[in-house]
Amino acid sequence: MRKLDLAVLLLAVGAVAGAAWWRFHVPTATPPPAPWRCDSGKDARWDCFVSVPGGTFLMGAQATDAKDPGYDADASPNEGPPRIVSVAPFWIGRGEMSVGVFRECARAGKCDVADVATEGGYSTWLPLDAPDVPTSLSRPLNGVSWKGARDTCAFLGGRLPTEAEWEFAARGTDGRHWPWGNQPLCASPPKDDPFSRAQRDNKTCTQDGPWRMSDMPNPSPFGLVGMAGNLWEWVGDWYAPDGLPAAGSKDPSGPATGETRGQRGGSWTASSPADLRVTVRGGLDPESKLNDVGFRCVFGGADVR
Amino acid sequence: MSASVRRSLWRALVVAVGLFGSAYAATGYRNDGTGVWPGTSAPTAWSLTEHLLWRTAMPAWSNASPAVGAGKVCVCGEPTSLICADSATGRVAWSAAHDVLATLTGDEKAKASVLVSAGDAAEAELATLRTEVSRLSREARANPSADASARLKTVQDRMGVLKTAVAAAAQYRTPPNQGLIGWSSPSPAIDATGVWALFGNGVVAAHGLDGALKWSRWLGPPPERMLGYDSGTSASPLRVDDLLVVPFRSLTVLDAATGAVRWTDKRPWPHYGPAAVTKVGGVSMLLLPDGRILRARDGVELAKDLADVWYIAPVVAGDVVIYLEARSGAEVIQSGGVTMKAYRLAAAPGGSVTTTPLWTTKIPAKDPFYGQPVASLGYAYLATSTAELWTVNLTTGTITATRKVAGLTNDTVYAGPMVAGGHLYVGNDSGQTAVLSIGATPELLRVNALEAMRASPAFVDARVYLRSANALYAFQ
Repeated sequence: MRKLDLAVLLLAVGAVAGAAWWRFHVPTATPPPAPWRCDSGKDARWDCFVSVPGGTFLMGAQATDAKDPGYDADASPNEGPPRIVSVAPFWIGRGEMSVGVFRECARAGKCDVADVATEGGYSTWLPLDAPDVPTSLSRPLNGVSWKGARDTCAFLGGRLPTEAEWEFAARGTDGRHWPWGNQPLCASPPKDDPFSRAQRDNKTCTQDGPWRMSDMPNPSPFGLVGMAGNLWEWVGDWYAPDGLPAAGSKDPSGPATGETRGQRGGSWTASSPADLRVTVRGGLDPESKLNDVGFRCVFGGADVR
Repeated sequence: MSASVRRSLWRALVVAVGLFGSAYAATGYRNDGTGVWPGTSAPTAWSLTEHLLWRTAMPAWSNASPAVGAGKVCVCGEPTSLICADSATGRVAWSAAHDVLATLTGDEKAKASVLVSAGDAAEAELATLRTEVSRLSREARANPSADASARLKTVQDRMGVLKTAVAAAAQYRTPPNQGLIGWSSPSPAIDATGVWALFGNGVVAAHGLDGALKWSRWLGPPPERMLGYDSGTSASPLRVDDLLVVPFRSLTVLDAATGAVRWTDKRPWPHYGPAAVTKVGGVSMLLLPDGRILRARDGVELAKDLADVWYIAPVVAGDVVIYLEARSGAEVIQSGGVTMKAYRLAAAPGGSVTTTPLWTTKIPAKDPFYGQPVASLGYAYLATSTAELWTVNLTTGTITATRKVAGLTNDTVYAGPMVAGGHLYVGNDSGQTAVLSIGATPELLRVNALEAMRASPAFVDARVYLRSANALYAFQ
């Protein structure tokens, strides 16, 4: 065989092999360490991680035209324009990040307690020198700055989600307005239950402060809780107040620079179901430490900043 | 089983009870704590059209079971009410609420009153700030600015101060509704001299049969943590000899007549069920879910490390005590089931007790057990939260039967099985009660349907009393 023929043959074989790999390789996200996965048997933990398959979905909402995609009469201008977006597979926290994990991070010297507002009647913080009371450790951490959130995720080996990842995790692919569907139930939905008359009267979606994840009903399509209400959740993106970032349609990660970092999900301060829709967006000074803010982390996904 | 054999077995049981007898001095939680109601001729069938004697609407729900005696049937109502009705007519004779402030006196009451007033004022101001913080939260995030964030922080900080004032008063105020365990889950106890009740705000009280308050005492704010859940209290007070055994925060034993503290155990009480009670060698003993045995009159520890039970009390049958080490659903799955243990109790010198291990059996259930087992005539019956019924031979620990109780829907079984009048009863929280035969392989006889209910029935003489979320019933 001539050298040229051999070269062509090798190239062809390589091309076929490469195409086969591309065709059959199923992208999977880098998982978190085994003890952190919700499928490792520790499903009583709310800060374990759930696998979310990659997908394509309509991100955002608009209130301009009922005939156009993504119509939502309650949508604000900064929730749109809706766009088709793809996200790579990733793992995400099943619930909002717990006090216990931040304490571990701080004790390891990787997180700074100064990044958490530790005082006030709504604070969920447990001082480092206090005994490890499990019910206190499992509460969602609030009053944390963006840096504190980022550092905690890095301590675990992950990062904060992008807005696209967060929204996909909250709503899946069917365009729902809330994690549980399209009915404007409140964060503590009315139950037709004679033992819960007080809950039945709670029509305004008010909470009296941050709740435990175990008290948050109505998970998202991927089994996540607390995606609507409880605590606003930091995302990794800079926030673009004039609408969704005009990035590419695959794994967008927001503008390159900014002054405020994005937040999603609404919080216990909400006064109506409209405030808790999955497309509601906000931004805050990354150094702010408000008592209605928390976060959850992701592993895997696209290679984002 | 023939009627004559059954009578012989009942006689043997009576003899056994005399030697290793019940120390219960009143009736209340699961009759005498065992869930066995001997000698009743109550109907096995009931509904709104079958055997209904009376139905009395209740002002609020409660998980507490009826306590029947001295012509009265007493139940509880959320959050802190004790309600007693005439057992023949269902007419409510009296009702009493149990606030913390009413139990306090002097300086303590004055301080608490100030905190409650401040808490009331703080709640009122919080209500006015709710709308503002919601608006500021939206504005500060939609169009972030230092100014908007500062305004939001100012209001949130003020709300935090108010929240602290509300929290400081919380232990003294009427508790807000708490939908699962509630504040009135402990079942009252009744005898010919009065009624005793315990509530989740920490108030324990004794009333005369006419409703007059004899004494009340506050044992402190609710415990911080229950095993597997984090609020509410459900363990019932028990009348033992001249004592009232109160499982709240820790185990406190009071003089039943005066409310004076006789002794207190140091360990916290995070269990949902009370102790079991028995007499060994004539000495009343408390068998705790944490595996200890304490002498009732003075709390002296007589045994320990027998078991570690979460949701329910140990069960005594004659000279045998059974522990079902029920745990959370996740632990049940991880452990491949729950462990059941039995010990034989025997009197030891000095009023003590020896415990001889009889058997240990793994119950390979896949769901938790919330209700206490019942042991009767040689078998123990236990039901998971999903109505899977297990039957265990009390002598050998062998599982003789397991079955899903047909006819019960997918609602949760909270109350433990009971044995009454030679039948086994298993109920769920939608008010369905399955009636089964007793023995090695219980067979379903019928299912009674009423309405949402978590309390256990009380079978007394010719009647069965049921406490639903909305009403109190008597069937005869």
